[in-house]
Amino acid sequence: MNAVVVVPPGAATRPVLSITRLETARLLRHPVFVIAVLAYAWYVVKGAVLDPAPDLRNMSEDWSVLTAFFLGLGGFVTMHRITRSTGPSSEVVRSVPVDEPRRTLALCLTCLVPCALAVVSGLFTWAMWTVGPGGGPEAEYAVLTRGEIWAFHVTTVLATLGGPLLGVAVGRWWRWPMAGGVVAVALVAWSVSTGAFTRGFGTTLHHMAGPYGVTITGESSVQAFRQAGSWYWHVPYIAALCVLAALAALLHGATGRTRRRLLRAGGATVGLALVFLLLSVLTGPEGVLVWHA
Amino acid sequence: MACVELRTLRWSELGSCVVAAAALLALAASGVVGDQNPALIWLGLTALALGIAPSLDDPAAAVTASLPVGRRRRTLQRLVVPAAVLVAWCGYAASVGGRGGLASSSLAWTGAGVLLAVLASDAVLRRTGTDEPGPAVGAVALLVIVTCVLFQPFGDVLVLQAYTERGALPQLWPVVAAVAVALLWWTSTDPAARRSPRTAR
Repeated sequence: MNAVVVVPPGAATRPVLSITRLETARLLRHPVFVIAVLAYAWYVVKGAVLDPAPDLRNMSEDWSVLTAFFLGLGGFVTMHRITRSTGPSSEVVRSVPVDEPRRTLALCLTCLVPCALAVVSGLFTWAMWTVGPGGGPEAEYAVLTRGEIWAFHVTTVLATLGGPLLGVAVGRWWRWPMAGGVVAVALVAWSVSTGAFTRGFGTTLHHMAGPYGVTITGESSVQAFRQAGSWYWHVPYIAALCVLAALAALLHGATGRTRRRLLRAGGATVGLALVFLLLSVLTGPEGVLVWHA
Repeated sequence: MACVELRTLRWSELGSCVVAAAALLALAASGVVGDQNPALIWLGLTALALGIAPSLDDPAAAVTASLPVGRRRRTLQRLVVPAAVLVAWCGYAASVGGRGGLASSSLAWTGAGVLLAVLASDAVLRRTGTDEPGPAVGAVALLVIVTCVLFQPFGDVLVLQAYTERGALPQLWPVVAAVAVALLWWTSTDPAARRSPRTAR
């Protein structure tokens, strides 16, 4: 029997991009991701157009939570399952002439898809805010500047990149099936356990160190409050966490010079992440909680 | 025979999930993050659900199908560990009842309903030919519970019920638990109508 091997044009010269295309197609067809994106689209359109929140600040916070949950956590679960799905076929996968770090790099590039969706939905939602009667969410954030609101939303978009990247890393390093679920539970627990009113060093560190944290801030008839910390320095901190997740994923299966380079880059990124975290905790405005009489 | 069945469980995975659940439940009970925030309790329940989800996985189903032991008996033996988890959950619910308005009965019924629903889903999928339904059922349970925690999709009615008054629908979880037990019984019917060696004699 004769066998004919058909190589797609360009596949031999750019193997990482070819695998990325395949993994992207798998991601877009994965039932968990499809359901997450459909639910996310429904909630975003409902929250911005059909049944808008009573004020733009609530709409902004809703967008952030929806994006982080459906695209960040949904992306995490999906990429973890996609990464693990090659386990039973590892003998076959290892026989292809592409080493594991490059296959992992293709998976990491696939993680840009949820992030791109978050950017699109963010632009759409921001456009809806801007053309609305309120003139943008900053008009209703009593204690946040426009730059801080942008920074907060950028961290949300980065969470949709970091979640899937972490899913790849966990899938590579922690082989038992429920590992992704336990890590997802831990991520959500971290986010929901940060209190609304962070004023001291410990509570601010807990809030700012989390991979995703919604900023709960504003003014009502009974109280005015804002959480402590700098949202500007929080952006490079979350970006550093994304890089760390990617490096951790790439480290699995890396050998020799590549491994040494990845370890050096990882060490430097850990250092930078700690510096950014401390800056975000120490340099921002102090937390405020004032109860009106 | 029970020991043989229990040896097929992946104890390290179960232990990791139970440890994670215990940490979350202890944190919730300590009141560090607020007495009236049951989110951590539900996340602890999620970890328990993830732990017991693979209890009915049978990757060697093609081999075990030829054993002279019926499916119902093997299923009952495998359910020993989830039953212990369920008892522990009810004990936890009893211990935190009354704090911040939490109701022991609501917590116990919700937990029992969720855990039994996970097992019943496993059993139905196994019956329809999926040998290892645990990971898929666990992922769905995770997303559903976290969705209910964060978004409360049914408005004033809370799916995950921790109170006797606020958002209560007391019939929900007893009905789910009863349906789940019925499904477990139905799906464990042996396809070859085998009986245990002792009763077959």
